[in-house]
Amino acid sequence: MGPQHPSTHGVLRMVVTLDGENVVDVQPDIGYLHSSVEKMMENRTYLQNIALVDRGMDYLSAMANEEVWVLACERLGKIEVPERARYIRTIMLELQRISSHLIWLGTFGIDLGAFTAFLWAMRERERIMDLFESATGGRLHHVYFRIGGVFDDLPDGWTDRCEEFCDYFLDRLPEYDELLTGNPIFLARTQGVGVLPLDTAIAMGASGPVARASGLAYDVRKAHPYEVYERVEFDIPVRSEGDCYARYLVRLEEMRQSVRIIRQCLERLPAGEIRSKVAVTLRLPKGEVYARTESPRGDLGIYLVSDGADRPYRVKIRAPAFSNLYALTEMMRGWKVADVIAILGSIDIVLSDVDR
Amino acid sequence: MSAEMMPHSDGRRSRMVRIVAGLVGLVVGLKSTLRAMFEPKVTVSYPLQKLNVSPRWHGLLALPIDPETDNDKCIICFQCERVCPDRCIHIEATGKAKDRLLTRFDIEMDKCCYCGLCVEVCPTEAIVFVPHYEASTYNRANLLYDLDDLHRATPKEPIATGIVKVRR
Repeated sequence: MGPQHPSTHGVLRMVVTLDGENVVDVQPDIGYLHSSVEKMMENRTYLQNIALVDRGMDYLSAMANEEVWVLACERLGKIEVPERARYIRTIMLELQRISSHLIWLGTFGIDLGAFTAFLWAMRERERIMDLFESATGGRLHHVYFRIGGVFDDLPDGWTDRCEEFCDYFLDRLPEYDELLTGNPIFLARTQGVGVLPLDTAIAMGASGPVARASGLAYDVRKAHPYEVYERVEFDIPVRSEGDCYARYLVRLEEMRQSVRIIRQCLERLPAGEIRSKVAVTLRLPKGEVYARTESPRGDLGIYLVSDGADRPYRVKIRAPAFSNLYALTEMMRGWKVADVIAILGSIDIVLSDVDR
Repeated sequence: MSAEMMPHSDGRRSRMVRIVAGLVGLVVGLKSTLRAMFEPKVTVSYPLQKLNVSPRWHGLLALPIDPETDNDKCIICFQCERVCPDRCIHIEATGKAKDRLLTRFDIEMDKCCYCGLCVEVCPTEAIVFVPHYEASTYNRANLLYDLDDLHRATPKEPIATGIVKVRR
């Protein structure tokens, strides 16, 4: 199956062994989107790499990639980030989470034959894109975070528009419940399908909504807080079923929690500096650091080694989609070939993140 | 007999419940799609209609001419050339110190990733973004913007101009 199948997200080839209609084994064959980002990062300065992680990794959540990169650099260089910048970053990260989950919701709907959900998800996402565009200048690739802060302050009236979006979005979310949660066809194709038991999820290194739908109450935002996540209140949605439907419910609830975080941040947004002084050709001290964040897809980490030069010596990216993809075999074994697409859609992979 | 029928009738009842619940779910879903049909349309039929871009928009790059000196604002510091991650800016100059003259300022727009680092590091705001985004062309050579192109801040051969052209 694949790599150019319209139902796969990106270019993924799956070698599916069948017994009649039953799936005996699935081997994902990856590498079609490999761009050697880790090697390319060794040839670029720390500032230039912000532009690279935007598009080289998970392109649907560019802010999350920027965040993990600047976090690694700041930890190694012990660079202070002003309060206001940390709040702005948190707002942006949560908006990014909503926009990424909306794309997933839409494509998951398409995989199961519900086209309306896709158009509606795009309509909501467009609002977020407009917010991003007015603040950062880019819609998909922002290059907004800087080592030691953010590029520029929020434009006038941005916080009001963001508030407006939060209200609008919470009004719209019940529509998805009406459209999908109660839909018998959707339920029949997701409930009990593609179960990932908790111990398998842990053994396979699954993280993010995939692991949380299997009952693992782990979120990097709670376990290893970064930015201002320790100061805002939010819940981690956890389901114990581990099926496609549980993954759907977890992501829907995560979007509600994201709105909750954004509202708290907007309320407490302090005034002041947004960027500390950092040289364009920054030289980080010799050493190594590991930074981890909760991207929309899961536990995203960067291991950074510096030899004191103006560019990194080695970068290793721990991509959440890669680990989640390998839990796929366990999920699909024993199901019918028609369920393969539903299960693949439910884990929300971005092949650019898998192959890097 | 009746004891044997019990599970069967039970199954039938639960099936009936499922069918009714399913029908209700479908009707609720169709109702919300019907409601959306009468809401105002959100689609913009590009390229006949266009949206305004924000002032911070990362569009095409330009070198605006300073109205006071009637010349470039560029002080030939090579900062943008150095910071560019794609190495797509090429600057050459003649003369020394204050008499330096810009002889070449090329941007390979096909390589550009619109990250905006050049605009950020420029000390004199000599290189800026313009709210123009339709740079597609049939020829790659058209994407090499030289000093003149950057002054005019327009692509050499605008293809997407807002009206769909019919090719003969």
